Amino acid sequence: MSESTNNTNPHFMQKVLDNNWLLLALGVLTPTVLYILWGLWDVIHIPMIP
Amino acid sequence: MATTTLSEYRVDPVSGLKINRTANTLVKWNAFAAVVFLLVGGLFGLGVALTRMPSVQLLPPEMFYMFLTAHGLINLAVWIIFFEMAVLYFLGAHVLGNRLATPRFAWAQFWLMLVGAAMVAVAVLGGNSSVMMTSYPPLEAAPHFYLGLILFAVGALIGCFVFLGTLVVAKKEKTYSGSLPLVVFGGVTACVIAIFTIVSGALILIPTFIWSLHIIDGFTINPMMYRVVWWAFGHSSQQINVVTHISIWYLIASLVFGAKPMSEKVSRFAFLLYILFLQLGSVHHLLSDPGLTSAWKIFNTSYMIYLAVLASMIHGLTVPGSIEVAQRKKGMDAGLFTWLRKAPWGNPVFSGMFLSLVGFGFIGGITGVVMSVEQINMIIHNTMYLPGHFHGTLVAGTTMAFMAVTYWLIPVVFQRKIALAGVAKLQPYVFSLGAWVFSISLMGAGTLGVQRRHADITFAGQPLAYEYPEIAKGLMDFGEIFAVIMSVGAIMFIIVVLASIFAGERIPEGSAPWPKVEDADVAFAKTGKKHIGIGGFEAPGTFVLALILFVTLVLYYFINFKYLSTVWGMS
Repeated sequence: MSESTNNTNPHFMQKVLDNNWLLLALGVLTPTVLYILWGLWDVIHIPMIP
Repeated sequence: MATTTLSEYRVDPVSGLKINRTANTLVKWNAFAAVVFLLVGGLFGLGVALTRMPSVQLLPPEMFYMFLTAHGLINLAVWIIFFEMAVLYFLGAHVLGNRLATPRFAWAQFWLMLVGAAMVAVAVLGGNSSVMMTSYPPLEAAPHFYLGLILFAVGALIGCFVFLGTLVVAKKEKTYSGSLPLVVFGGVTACVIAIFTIVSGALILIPTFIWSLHIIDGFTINPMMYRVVWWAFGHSSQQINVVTHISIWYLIASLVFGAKPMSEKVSRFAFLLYILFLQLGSVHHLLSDPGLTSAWKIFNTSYMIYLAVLASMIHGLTVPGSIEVAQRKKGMDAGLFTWLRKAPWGNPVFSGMFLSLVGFGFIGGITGVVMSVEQINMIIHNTMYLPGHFHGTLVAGTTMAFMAVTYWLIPVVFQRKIALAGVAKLQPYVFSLGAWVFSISLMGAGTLGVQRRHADITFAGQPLAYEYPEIAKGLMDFGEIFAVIMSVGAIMFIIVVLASIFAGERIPEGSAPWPKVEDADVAFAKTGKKHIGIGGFEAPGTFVLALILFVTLVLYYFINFKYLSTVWGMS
């Protein structure tokens, strides 16, 4: 990956915001864990009628 | 490795952008398909509106459910996602002066989405797939209904990766330096949310398709699991729209006023908050589902989603704020609202964008936040409040913003001047008036308990009849009149678009560049002034508008909790 033409060293947060693939990973993982997996976990663990 | 030649690009006289011809063809076809589907879906919507009017009741129940399914899918998914594909290609290629990474895959995106949408339409109009947009099992549609949705989703997924690939090409071929422009970064945010959305859709629609084929004995779909995963697709798909229309607000502020974001870092951070938390809003569809724990519901809706709400507040402040700063720098520095009064209200690009901002903030946004509260959600769950809310976000917000930017895109992409300029000037007002009053009326009826997804709110001839208060019926009649006005606004838009594309005055290639909007900072330097604004505030008018929004939100919370206390039997 070639660096941008800017010679300055960007701030860590700017590096995060400039990395589209990292953003993609974060944007898929966060809702997958907090919404889908946790939600399905709740449904799977509904107690059966004895 | 650049293999392009000069003739693959043209310099657009309207925007000054370097436009790749292949990318432009794809932008054109996606945008055109979007507008055609807006027309088709809108006509189904008109049928739904005229049936929900208690005093008209146009369609018999079977037709009503067919129309409702078609309207929901076409307007909530097909029109908007086709338009978003056009926007992504425009941002990735045109804004960056770049070529499209893989035009063949981009064409595959277009055709898969078109064939998928057609299959869904055939299934619904065939009469055996009136399962509504949500298609909850055990309601069962024809297999080609699910297959069509899957093809449509796969097409959109391909489009997202073409966009990401295009950004890689732009970086490699150095068509930009440093960070992506903010508006393109907004496109990246929309794209990330779209990928999560589409993968979730595939995750649930593929097994549902297999279930509909009846090829595996005993294979069934757990309705509760379906709801959890489907809403990761169903609600997040609307979040793609939110991000896309906010990016369009930034674009229009820059185009019309030469405005710059008040703080680009803060705006980018707000987009990051969307990437992380916006999709969690899906939970508010499941707040009354008994099988899901309160921890899951409250963590997501009462904690995480507020981080996304914070992001919306930031965008809602910084977009009008940047316009105010630009206007003040250009000399409209007197008083609180001179900058707004003297804005170009006759230009549909601006008026549409600003009406979208106000409509989305005050109608769609506030109500969405309040209905995400578990207790309040109990009053309005599954009522007409829901269609009222999402017409506030998707119609008053997203669709209005898409229409506004179309008035700018037609000269740039289709190389035609806007035809019927007088109609175009009026259109945002007609459409927004209809959308706003329609949304508010439906939310009023919903608060009084009127059920959604029902052909006849009077329940005539039903064994378990229920009589709603007369005011609820009045609100439904009143609201649906404004749905007709909204449809008139949509038809005006479609007429202007078609007249411009097919009969508008051609803008020849190589013609003289159109006058550019003066950069606000350049204009400010000429004035020789040192400061703008009042009392140290650069954008005091926007600050007041933000306070009004905040007070409205607090009051609206209070009213809803007060109402909740009156319906609670033990109070």
